[in-house]
Amino acid sequence: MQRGKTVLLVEDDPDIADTMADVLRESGYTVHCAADGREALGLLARIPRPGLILLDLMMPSMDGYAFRQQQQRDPRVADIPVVVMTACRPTENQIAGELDCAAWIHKPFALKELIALVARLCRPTPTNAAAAGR
Amino acid sequence: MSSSLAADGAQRPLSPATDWPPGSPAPGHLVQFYADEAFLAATVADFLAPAVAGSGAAVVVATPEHREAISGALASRGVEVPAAILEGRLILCDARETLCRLLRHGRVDEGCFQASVVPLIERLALRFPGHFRVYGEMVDLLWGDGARQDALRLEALWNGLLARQGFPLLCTYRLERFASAGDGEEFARVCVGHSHVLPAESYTREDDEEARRREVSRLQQQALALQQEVRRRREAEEELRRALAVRDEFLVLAGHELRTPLTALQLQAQFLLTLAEGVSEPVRGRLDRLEGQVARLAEVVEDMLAAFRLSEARVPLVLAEADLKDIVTAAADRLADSVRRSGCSVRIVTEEGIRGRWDGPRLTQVVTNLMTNALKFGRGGLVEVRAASKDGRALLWVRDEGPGVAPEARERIFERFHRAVPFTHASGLGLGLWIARRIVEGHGGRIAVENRPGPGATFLVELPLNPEKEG
Repeated sequence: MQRGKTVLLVEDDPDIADTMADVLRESGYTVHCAADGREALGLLARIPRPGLILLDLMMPSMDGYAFRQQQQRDPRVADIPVVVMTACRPTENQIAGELDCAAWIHKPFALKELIALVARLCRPTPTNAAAAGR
Repeated sequence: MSSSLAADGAQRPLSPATDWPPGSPAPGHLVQFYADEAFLAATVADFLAPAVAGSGAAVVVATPEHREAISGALASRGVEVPAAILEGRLILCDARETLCRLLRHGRVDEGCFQASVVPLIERLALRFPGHFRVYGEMVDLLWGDGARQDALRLEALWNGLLARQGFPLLCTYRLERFASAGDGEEFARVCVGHSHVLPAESYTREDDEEARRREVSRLQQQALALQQEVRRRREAEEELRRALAVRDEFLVLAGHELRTPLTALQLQAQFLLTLAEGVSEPVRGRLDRLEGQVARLAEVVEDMLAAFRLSEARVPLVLAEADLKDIVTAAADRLADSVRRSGCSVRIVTEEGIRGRWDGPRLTQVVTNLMTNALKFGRGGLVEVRAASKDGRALLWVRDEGPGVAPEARERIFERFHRAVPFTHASGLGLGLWIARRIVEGHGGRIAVENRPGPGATFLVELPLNPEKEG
């Protein structure tokens, strides 16, 4: 079980988002969900700093690319590792650095694959004292 | 096309045999295009014979084969070739050797030309004033070597010499040097560099004027038809490019629209299975079958989408740093439920740190397809996946304990839509091994069924660690 770890899940498909959130909560993570990039940026300002962001690319309003750009510009959240979830094949530029993500996961992925990846990359959520000193 | 005015006032094409009669050689720079070697020898002999058979001289700068053919053609026109050579009236030079003397730092050099060609021509002009002819094919060699600027430069140097000395000079080009539609501009530049242009044999060998005109009409019709054909093909290519762009756009969209609900289905089915520990066996069995069907659907969708992409001559790959162990683990994770359903057990033995510049998702598809194949035919036995590296190459084996692959089928099973067993016996599109082969070969690697004694099949994949480096 992964107590004390928080994941921000940015995914516009409610069925995928709900199931992923349930699966991750079942594994002990605290999960916050956003349906697009704009909502995710709003959440980042309000919730405790997550240890990992699971990011879909094709979303309405603000897509994964635009979210990632905004996130990288904000020093408070820029270093949170990001796993990009995609149903399309990324280009070399995207892999080489445009998105600069910790990992890619290709849809449709297996539950086991998702859990293993999140366990490997999600950092612990800082305690209040540590967060205050940040 | 250049032409001369005949006695009757009609325009007619120039011919070296008729337009430069012995005793009255018209100075000029002719270019003869040709396709047939025998025609070349005949036309050069026609050009030289009037000079060398009389009191004049001729220089031949040609390849050994052409020198031999021209000498033979001269002999058949009554020229005493050995005597003419002895008397210094027929000078045969090797085109490649002479060309080398004209080059400085690999380029045609005016100084070298002045030092080697000009003295020879001056000696001939002194000894045979107005009675010598020169044939050369160095420009054709340069053109064939891709040194087109040097060929044009050499033509210009000859033109400079002609302006001072005034003698007939014939050079030849193989017509095939200008075989593509884009060669028109350079062909025109070659023609501009000459005072007379002689068309290839299909035209000039016609002696009868009416036959000649008919041949011109036929060639004009062919040229027009070819121009139209080129235009039609360009339009078709453009249409094909547009269609491919539309197809690619559709594939991206279809991929997204198919994989998104599949992801939701697969995650929910797998999650329900994890929650179904305490439920009754029939319910759990139905959930298991549901998950199995979703996995099967996912496999078919991936194979179909890959089949479109991988049908192209060049396999589209996105190369990045990847670890073979991660690739094998991702494939095994995806197949965890399929493994359970198959009754097979899986053993994975991979060396650490086998890293390469590969298309990770595509290689995951290779391992997935090979493992799916092993689970399908493995008869509930052990499926072993091994990975190692040797001599700068990654090696991957997938072994099962099924019936194996007959020697005569070891190539065929990698063909598109090949099925090892009839439709009624196993599912799938018959694309899995073909996709694996296309991806592996796209990386510059190879895939094969190993010839091992005993039951079971072993598939071996060999991959370069850096496909880009290996070209």
